[in-house]
Amino acid sequence: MGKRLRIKEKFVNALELPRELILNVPKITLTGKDKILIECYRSLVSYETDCVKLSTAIGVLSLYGRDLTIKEITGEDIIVQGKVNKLEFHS
Amino acid sequence: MIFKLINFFRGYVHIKISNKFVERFINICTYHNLFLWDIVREDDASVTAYLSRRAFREAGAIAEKANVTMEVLKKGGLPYILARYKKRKAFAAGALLFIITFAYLMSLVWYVEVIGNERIPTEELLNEVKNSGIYIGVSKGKIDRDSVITDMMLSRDDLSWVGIYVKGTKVTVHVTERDLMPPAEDDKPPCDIVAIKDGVVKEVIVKAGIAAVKEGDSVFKGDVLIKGDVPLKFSGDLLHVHARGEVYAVTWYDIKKEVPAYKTVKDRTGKTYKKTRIDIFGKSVYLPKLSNMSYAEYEEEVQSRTLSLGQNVYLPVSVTEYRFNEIQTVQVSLNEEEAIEYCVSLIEEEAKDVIPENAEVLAKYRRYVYDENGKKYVEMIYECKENIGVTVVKAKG
Repeated sequence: MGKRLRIKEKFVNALELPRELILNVPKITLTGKDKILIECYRSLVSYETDCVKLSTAIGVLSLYGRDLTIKEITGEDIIVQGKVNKLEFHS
Repeated sequence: MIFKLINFFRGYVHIKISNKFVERFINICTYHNLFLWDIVREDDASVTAYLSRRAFREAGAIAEKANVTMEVLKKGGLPYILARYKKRKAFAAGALLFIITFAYLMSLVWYVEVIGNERIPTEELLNEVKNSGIYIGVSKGKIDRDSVITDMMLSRDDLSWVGIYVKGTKVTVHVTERDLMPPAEDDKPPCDIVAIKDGVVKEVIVKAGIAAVKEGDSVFKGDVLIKGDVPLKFSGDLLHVHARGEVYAVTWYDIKKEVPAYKTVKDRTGKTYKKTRIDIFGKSVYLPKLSNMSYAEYEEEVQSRTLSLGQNVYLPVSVTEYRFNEIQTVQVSLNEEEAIEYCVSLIEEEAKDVIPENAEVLAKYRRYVYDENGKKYVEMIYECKENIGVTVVKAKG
């Protein structure tokens, strides 16, 4: 994390702004273990029934599970449904 | 749920995309702000997805660019259903005709109702509004509420307020009646308060004049109760005033009736005859058509219903059911106890007519009287308290 980003983060913390919008980092909302909403992603890297890979500002996010389907997808958010076992970041 | 409903109205397409790089197709779609939902992986080389009708138009070009093959599985929703019916001209014409007819019928008045009247009969007011231009079958647009209200207020002086509300196919005329003022007592000639019937004075309330009787006095019809001649204190002259006041006296009413041996009862024979009248657009149809009822005596029950949609939309159809119940007069013989009871009930009925409304019944006495032939009579005596004073203008002179 560069110096510039650290200043920006301090600024965001001080003003209590929504982090995901200013810092452009994904916001992940997991409801139970079968519905996951990711806001502020960049693009879909790959989609299989057992693995969904998304590219984000802070690296590739992988969702592992079973019977995964993409419930909704727009430019900003994606909702994945299915039995989620594991979330993983690769930077 | 709402999401599904919106999709139904906007139309949606279920597609199958096949190639190795379906993710590329999805990314381009999202980049172009095309909304995809329910993306499911079918096998290694294909996924199925839903997209809106509008997005589908652009999706073809994107599929070409992403180098995937797109296959339509299903087109659903209202726009596609309508497109299917586009070719059926007669059907469309019928639907349009129905809508126009319905709209026309709904623009007419099918029910006029008058509320708020207590003394003025409803028919009279209905007639009045009919002359002013509100009647069954008139177009709602033609109703000029202000002029109808003005007409009614001008033609009747017993109304203090008229309001007209149009709701659906129903017109409600709301009236408020004017309380008619009693004619003013401008000239108050000198007068006395005089008894109109015999009684024993119970209470004297003098508002003007001098009391001529006191509590406990027996008075007869014609006696002066409150004098209108007031002696002046010093000169001794008489001042003639308009006497006012109330004199309550105990009065008696005596009703005697022979005890009857039987009573006549009107009883239903159980035979009924039903007739139905259907009014459609002001025309009446009777079912059954022929009236072959031949009852000498009957009781009639009428039940009328106007068909309506909801509370305010009345349809021009009303159904009236007539029910005629045949009646026969039966004489029922009574035993002594029942006979007396029946006799008392007859007397009570008569007493309602005989005793004035403002009289208060203090006590009832019952006794049995036999005449020389041995017939039995029931005599009821009602002890009442009532105002027996009436104003009598003194003859001049």
